[in-house]
Amino acid sequence: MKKLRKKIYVAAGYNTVFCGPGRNEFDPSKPLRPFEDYLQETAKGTCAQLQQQAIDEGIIGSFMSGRFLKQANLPGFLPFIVPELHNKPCTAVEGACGTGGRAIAMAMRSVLSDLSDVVFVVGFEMQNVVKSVYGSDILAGAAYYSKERKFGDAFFFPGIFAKRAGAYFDAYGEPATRQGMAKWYEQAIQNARKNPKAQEYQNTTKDLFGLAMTPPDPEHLFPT
Amino acid sequence: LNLYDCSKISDGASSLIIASQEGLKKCGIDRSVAAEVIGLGEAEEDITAPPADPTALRTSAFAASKALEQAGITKEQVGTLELHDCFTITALLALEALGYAKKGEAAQYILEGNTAPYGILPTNLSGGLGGFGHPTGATGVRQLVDLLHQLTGKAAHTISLKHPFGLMLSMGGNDKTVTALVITKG
Repeated sequence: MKKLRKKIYVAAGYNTVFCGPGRNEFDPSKPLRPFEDYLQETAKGTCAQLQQQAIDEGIIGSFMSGRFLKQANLPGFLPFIVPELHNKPCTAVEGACGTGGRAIAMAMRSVLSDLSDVVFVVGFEMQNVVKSVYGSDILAGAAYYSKERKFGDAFFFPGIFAKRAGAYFDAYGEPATRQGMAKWYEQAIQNARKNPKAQEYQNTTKDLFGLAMTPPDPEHLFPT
Repeated sequence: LNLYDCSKISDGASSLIIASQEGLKKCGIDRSVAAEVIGLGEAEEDITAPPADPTALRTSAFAASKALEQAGITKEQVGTLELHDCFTITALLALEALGYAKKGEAAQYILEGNTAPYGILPTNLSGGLGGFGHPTGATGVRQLVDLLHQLTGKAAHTISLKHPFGLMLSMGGNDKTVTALVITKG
């Protein structure tokens, strides 16, 4: 495979807090922080790292804002959050949970083709605007909805990957695999506790491994 | 799966710039705070077809091998990894897809501490999708932001990497839309 035809850099990264169940400030009984706030915060965080605002192009990634927020035409939000992008090319990208990766790849193509020297890339999603079981139906759009949805579980993608886990258990044994999955969970939370913007930053569970070893209940994803 | 095997629903946003060398200069960004993207691997699988082997992530494997080949490095030279662990089982499958563990041995690979912060392959130092959160459209960008911060010493908990390369895997759907990126210090 050929090397990239010229040097490509990534810089000025910024994350907002990833908010939802687990964060102390998350209270679904109160109005959620507006999506515009998230977009403005992250754009400000990136642009503050530039000495000069020399952005040529913008790309925005979101999977299902059309359903979660009933908001489309996302390119129009790029000049709203990065004024430099007024009258410049702006594009929206969608590839389900892989949206962000594809948005970055698209930005790389633009730079590699000499159309732009600097591309601002932003990805976002607002999932807490609906209850999780409804959200799960929305996220099922990442699969072949018209054929797969009615045969799937209420919590669709957990069901999809539970089937993969079941096949893996059958092939390689459940006890050791379950321990590996529990260790992965423990490691994920321990790492998140060191990142103030992580959703699980404030997780105080002592026995993470033991919790993650909880036997699955096929009837209830959420413990009753 | 149990509840703890699943990344939670989440709200959030992430951003960055992708730039040429000239673009960095125009923005007044020193290369020491940037990372170079040296490998890009993208792969797509037919969304209407079920996975040929539910115990494997073949599209992810293909995308990652392309990215590593373009970067001109081996998987052993990767200093830190950002995996798309939407579910814990996905992390195991991804480690096998990338070739870090043989089929059926990813659990043991994790239990031996290889993916821990001070293991041979520090993985998802951000917390990953399970720990940091997974607002779907933001996640891939967030992964690259965290790799960038880890390589440039800006991460909330930066560790000393054995190799100056980071690999990320961004996956859409049931291993259908996959992008892999390899970056190194700018």
